[in-house]
Amino acid sequence: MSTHPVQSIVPEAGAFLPHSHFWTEEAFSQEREQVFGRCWLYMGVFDDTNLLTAEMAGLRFELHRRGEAMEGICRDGERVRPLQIDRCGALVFARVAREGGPTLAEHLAPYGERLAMMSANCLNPQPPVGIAFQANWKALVENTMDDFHGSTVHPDTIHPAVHPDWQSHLVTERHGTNSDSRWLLADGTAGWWAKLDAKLRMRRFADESFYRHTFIFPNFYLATFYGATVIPHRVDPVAPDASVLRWQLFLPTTRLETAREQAFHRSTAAYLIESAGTVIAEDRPVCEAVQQGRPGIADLPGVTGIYGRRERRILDFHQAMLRQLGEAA
Amino acid sequence: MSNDAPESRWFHLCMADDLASPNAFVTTRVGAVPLVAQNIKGRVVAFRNVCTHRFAVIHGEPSGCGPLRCPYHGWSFDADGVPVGLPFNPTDFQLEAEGRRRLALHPASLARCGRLVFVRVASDGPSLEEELGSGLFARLAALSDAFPRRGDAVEPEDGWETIETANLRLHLAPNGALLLHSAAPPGADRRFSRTVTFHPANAPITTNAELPA
Repeated sequence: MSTHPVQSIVPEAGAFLPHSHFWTEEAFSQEREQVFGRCWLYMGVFDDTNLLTAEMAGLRFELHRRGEAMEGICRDGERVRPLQIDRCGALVFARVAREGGPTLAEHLAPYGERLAMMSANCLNPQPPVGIAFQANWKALVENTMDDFHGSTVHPDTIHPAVHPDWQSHLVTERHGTNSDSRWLLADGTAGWWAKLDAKLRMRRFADESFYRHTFIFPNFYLATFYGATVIPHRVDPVAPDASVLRWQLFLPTTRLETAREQAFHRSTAAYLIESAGTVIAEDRPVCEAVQQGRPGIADLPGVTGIYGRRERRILDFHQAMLRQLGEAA
Repeated sequence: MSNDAPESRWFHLCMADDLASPNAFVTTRVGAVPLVAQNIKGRVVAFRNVCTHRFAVIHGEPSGCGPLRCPYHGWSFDADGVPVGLPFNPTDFQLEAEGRRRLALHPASLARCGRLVFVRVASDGPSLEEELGSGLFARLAALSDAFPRRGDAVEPEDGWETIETANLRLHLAPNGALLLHSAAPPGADRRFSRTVTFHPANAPITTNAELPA
């Protein structure tokens, strides 16, 4: 890997997933076995149905809760394998049962405790949302860990919502496969949340004016606002060139007794879901543009792009994928 | 790349006047490769339509007018394909002239036959005239020059002369209309096909019209 004078990296072969991993059936099949058939994967937050299901890369995961006990299976066509299931606070993770490999706590490190603490805010669930992208799932992961496309892709949504001097205030932690970025909210945005808090008396896991984004390999991230609202996201591979971004808003309030409070909570949640949908609708075209563009340079030797100071999380992800794909069965 | 591969062949893209104004662009796709021809400060140039930063298609529309700037992170490129506008370069990339040159867009071949503009993915290979043959090249050039005025869409009729070459099919009406249809190259979807009717310079002026595919 060559390093430019200070900040940017041009990855060399072997330090970066081959371009073809973004569209070939062969790579998709390899990921199904080595990544989605082996790693701990976020499944959701149980509700009254005591049932969670997910589909990733052709694998179907079915989880049931009976009291405190959880059990589940992974279906791969006719093949049915048992799941290992564990929790991080309210967040439920599962993997195809196997000997060895990391525990869930090891897989989430060093964010397990923080995720568990934030997941205490998984209250007042809103209906899950799924948005289809005509792009490989990794293009969405790259997009979500890209800390500096706000001004170009989200000029009227995210960009004005974060502090004008976001560059000075952005804090990114990288721990190999997992990472975290936090953004200071603009004064106006923080003020909006403060007013909301005054009305809803939100449950807050921290007294912070941040948008926080915690990524857990391979396809989960938890977005939080104002130390209150939590939005778990999962990127589900559907096909080599198709994926679905699934997310669920939790707007935790301690004041939801009167009809007026319930109506206000409902309308606020609807507004936040619509706003999040608008942001995702802005990301979708650029993810799809990458999906269309990447095959167009794949035949050229040495075209590996360049990763700036705020794009290192993406290279971390590529390297984690390479390790996972190379892991012995 | 074999000589028969789409990437080695010339494809008609548009008319020269489609690229006459500053920032005008026309795009297509050949196989897996998106291409763009663009007027940048008066120079008409062609590149792979893929940003060298993180590989997004730069211009997503079949044609339009706007700077050669990637929608993802705002990288903009000059007529040599070199990135000249890099948001956050001082803090995030610190690319000097040589570093920028290494990240230039990959050039595509561009050639004209009269007012007809052709593109090819491969940088090297036979010239457009060699590929079409001198006779046909001269005929197409003459026709394109003789029918400069866009007009209302017409349907070809029996008895019209038809010329087919590359992805191009021309229908020449005895009464002086030239119908030009460019099929989308292999790998491109139908939005990259174009059909235009032209009339001689002295023909009555009619409404400009361009049929969708």
